[in-house]
Amino acid sequence: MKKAIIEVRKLNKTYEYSNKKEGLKNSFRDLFKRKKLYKHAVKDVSFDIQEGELVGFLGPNGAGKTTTLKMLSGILTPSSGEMKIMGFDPSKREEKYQMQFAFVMGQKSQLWWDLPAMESFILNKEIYEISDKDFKERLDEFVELLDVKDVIYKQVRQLSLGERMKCELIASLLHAPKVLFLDEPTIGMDVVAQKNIRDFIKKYNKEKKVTIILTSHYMEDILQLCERIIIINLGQVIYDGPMDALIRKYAANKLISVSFENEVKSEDVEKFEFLKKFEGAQASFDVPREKVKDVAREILSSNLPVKDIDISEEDVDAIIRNIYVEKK
Amino acid sequence: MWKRNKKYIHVAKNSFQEAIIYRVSTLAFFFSEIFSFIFIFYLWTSIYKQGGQIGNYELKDLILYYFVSNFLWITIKGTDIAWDVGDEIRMGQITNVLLRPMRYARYKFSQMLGGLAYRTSVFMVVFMLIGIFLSSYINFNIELKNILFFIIFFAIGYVINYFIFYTLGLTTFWLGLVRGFNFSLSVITGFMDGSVIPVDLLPRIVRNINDFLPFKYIIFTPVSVFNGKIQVTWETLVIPIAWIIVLYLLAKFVLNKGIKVYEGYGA
Ligand SMILES: Nc1ncnc2c1ncn2[C@@H]1O[C@H](COP(=O)(O)OP(=O)(O)OP(=O)(O)O)[C@@H](O)[C@H]1O
Ligand SMILES: [Mg+2]
Repeated sequence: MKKAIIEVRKLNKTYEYSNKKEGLKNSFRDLFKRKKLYKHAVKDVSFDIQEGELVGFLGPNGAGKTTTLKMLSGILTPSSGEMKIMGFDPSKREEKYQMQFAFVMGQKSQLWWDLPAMESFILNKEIYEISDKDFKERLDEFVELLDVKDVIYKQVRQLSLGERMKCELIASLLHAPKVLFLDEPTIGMDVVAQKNIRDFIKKYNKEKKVTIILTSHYMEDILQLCERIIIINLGQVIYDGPMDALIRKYAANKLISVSFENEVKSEDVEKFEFLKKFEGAQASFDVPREKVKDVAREILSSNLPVKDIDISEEDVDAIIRNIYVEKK
Repeated sequence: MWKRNKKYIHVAKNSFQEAIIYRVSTLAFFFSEIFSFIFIFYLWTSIYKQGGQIGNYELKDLILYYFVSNFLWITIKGTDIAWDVGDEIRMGQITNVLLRPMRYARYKFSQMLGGLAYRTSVFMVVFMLIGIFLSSYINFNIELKNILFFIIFFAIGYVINYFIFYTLGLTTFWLGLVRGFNFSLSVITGFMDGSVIPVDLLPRIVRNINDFLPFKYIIFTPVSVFNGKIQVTWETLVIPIAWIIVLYLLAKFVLNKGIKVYEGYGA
């Protein structure tokens, strides 16, 4: 087998922190005596990622996804364990390594807030020593793909979330990183913007053979993008394998949510199979994938006063629950 | 060497551009500065009504003193460096610098230099205009040599002030929040750096202590070089430069320690 581009062995991170009280006096007191608290945020995490893979990190809030990415990018030093990325140890923060990866954080901007994104691009050109020719070619390509011709000349503070994220992506990709970490790149966006970003990431991964780790707590994001998925819960890897196997085993069902014009009788709803929850004007059904269409059709063609119907993936918590049930 | 550092020039350029965008706040700054200057002007004029002199300052000396020290204050201390650094650490923005092939120390220095360049160019014009108005009042007669030395001491003052407040900002790595602390220190150093009152008018003990501290080189010394009260010799240069080296090493040490404890706050 080919050597993995990212190798992680028994990675651990324990945060040492204290509950800080506000106020100057308390700050000083805290400085001299404070109770140390520990949070074991990442526990014995191991995985290998091959060049060109697009791997999804899925997990609920506080699972340790960001912490793991921060260690991989060298911002955090692990408490123990080993990492090797493209032959580098990220904790050493070598410039040679930094030149070859990028870390895009959905909630943190690398762009200069008061200037047009273009100025940040030009700065990155200098930081990453990108030649004039490469810079122009790549920029033109991204601008075209993401449709941001005018956007990049507007002050960043004036951009919508989706537009800004497109610019963040461009800024992070101009130096053609070989490894890309995306921490919740679609957070807070509407469905259309999410899809735009997703399509771009997918295409970019396919064409450039870039290795990507993407985190999200939306099943949908990961489902659309990743062939392989790593599920993290409470700092531990509880699933690492292909997407389709996961779906077959632990996400066999989809969720149909129906809302009615007015309250309906329970016996009218209960005659349908797979009912999960029902209260007055709302009902939800937990339906096996292959039967989703049929059930939805039945509901719509019944005499129930359906106002709205929505079909979605099960949420992360449900999948995690299924995994634990299976393991027992 | 040049190629590796070109990025920092772009950082300075971007921050210069940002400062231009905030020209409204510059304007507000400008007016408050003018008013405080007029206030000081009248205050000291009335104090001096009976004539005579305080220490070795006549009225016109003091007016010249405040004229130059206000210029220095607004250019050198016109941004709260400690707050800027502290905020960047507290909000986790520093992460973006740390994960790219860039040195935080150089990045921050260039960024602040961009702001300094902006303020210096704007306020040089403003103060020259005020100077023309004042010159009908008092006779400046400044030697060219003094102006040249002034530029050197201005740079020294800027760097000393930069390192003190930069290092103070870095304490956010441990303290979490520096704002209140920062404010108290600014008030105290206002007396020691010469922006509130010329330091040679301070009580003897305070003056003696102050001689062992770096603050007076930020404002008092450059002003006194400008008005000729300090004759520049090797000695006047060596001590502040030694301070710069000490403060630089301290800042470097604190940054390295701080990054070790840094755990990427936020996100
Ligand atoms: N600097 C810190 N000090 C103490 N605890 C921390 C620190 N940073 C994170 N934690 C804790 O570590 C755990 C993992 O956090 P992390 O940010 O990695 O989660 P995440 O999987 O990215 O979650 P989310 O989906 O909400 O972004 C959380 O319980 C969090 O409270
Ligand atoms: Mg996170």
